[in-house]
Amino acid sequence: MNRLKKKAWTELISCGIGFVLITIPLFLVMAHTNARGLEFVLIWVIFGVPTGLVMYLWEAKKLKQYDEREREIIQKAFSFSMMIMVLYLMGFSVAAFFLIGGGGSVPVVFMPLMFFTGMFLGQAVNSFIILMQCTKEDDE
Amino acid sequence: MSKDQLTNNIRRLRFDAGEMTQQQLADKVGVTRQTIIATEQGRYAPSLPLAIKIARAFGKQVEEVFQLES
Repeated sequence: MNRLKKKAWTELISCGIGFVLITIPLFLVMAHTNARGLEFVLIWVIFGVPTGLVMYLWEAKKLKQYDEREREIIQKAFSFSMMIMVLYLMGFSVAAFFLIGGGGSVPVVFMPLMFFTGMFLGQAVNSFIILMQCTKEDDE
Repeated sequence: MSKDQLTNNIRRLRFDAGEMTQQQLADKVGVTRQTIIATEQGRYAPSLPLAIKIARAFGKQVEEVFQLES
């Protein structure tokens, strides 16, 4: 297995595990306990921003180890996954409008749900494209 | 408008250079073997720096390794 395939599988599996074991349970607990307030937002900022920054720096550092063709595949997969994510979020938002109507309302729980599922979908598409590209190359 | 296609003599040059393997060439120019395979088969057009590195690995000019066919 080449390192690009390894990267795609690692990200897909870790994202899946993180989504199922951390995001969903945490989200359910928060929704169930109706956690809210400014201090709650601050907790997310305090923990979320450094985590995001560390992950970004980690990815940027790892990107340097790939050669130009691998970086091109990674960038193409990223662009396509972003496009899918935006389409999904647009579809979700517009579908809600058409299904419920302009005067209707939806529980706010749908907003983070839309965001988290969109993120997961984006990551899954990203990994899937890299794996498809690697498999295609292996066949050739 | 015709589509330009980049062709190359990497395979022949590897054999002329004492049957150099794809891995040896990859190590020499600092890329993966998959990149050399894709370049050799014409599925990937390398950047100018990589094209120069490949040409230098064989002691050739870039034009002697890569050709642009219209």
